Amino acid sequence: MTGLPDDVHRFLYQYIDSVEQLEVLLLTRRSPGRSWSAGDMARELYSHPTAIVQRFESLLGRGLLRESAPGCFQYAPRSAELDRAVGRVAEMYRERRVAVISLIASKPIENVRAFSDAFRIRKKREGE
Amino acid sequence: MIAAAVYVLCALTSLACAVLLLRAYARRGVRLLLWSGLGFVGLALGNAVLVVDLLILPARDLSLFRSLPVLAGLAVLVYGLVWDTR
Amino acid sequence: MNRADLLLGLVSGAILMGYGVCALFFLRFWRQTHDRLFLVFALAFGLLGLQRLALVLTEPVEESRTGLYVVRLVAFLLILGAIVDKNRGDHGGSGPTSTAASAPAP
Repeated sequence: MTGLPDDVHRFLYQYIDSVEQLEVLLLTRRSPGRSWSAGDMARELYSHPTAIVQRFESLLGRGLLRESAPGCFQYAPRSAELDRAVGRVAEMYRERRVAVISLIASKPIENVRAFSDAFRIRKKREGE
Repeated sequence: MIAAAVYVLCALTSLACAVLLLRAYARRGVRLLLWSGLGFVGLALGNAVLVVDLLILPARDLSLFRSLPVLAGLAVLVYGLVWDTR
Repeated sequence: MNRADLLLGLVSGAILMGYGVCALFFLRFWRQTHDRLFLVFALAFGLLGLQRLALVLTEPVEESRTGLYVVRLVAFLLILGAIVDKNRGDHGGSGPTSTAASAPAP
């Protein structure tokens, strides 16, 4: 459908709830050694620190960041595989930004469709 | 006994739903499917306990105990519906 | 009323609400997607909720002796029917299902 590769599709479904959250993740990834405070990140993305704190926390809970110092976060995917997936997403976000944003925006209704499609016993083509 | 047969059918139906949802979760990683799948596991257990209650332990009243899997299943299902369909 | 009865009442109330909330969600999904499966699920969960209510009102008789298991049967037959409906005639299938996110083709 969106034509995004399966692994990217899967990652976005599983880990990303908003474009801002994705931006936060990709920014931490671009400077892997750096610890970001909510304030720094908010300035960089023209957002509010309180919103950023929420993004940090959900990414932390999903094993993509670690809290390097109180209130400061660093890119730290819990596996090499996850790091590769984020890399693929970053690539797609550069090349096919609209497709990625559309997928994130349509996630709620896509989840609902996935529920219904789960009841198809015969496998449908997966790349859909 | 008709009631027991009905409970078996209900348990199997819930189990089928759970299997289909969890299978789809394994394929696509949509979290809603995980919560719904687990929810249906709860409903399946609830029906299975009814069968056990009726056929195997007819003397003991398990009505509170047999409600708990259903309650847990619904709680998980509602959690998924609330968080993953926004 | 002893403690066990109170607890059972509490749990039954929570279950009733759980079925009701699920039914409303499925109803919303039906309106959003026009996929019949959700309408049937909403009906089934609504029925299960009503069955639970009826059961509490007729307590302490066992469900298997009240005939209320027939309602349970209908609810689960509805779900089974929805699954069968979903799989009937795999080409085209029931209702709009699979994915149509509006990303422009490359």
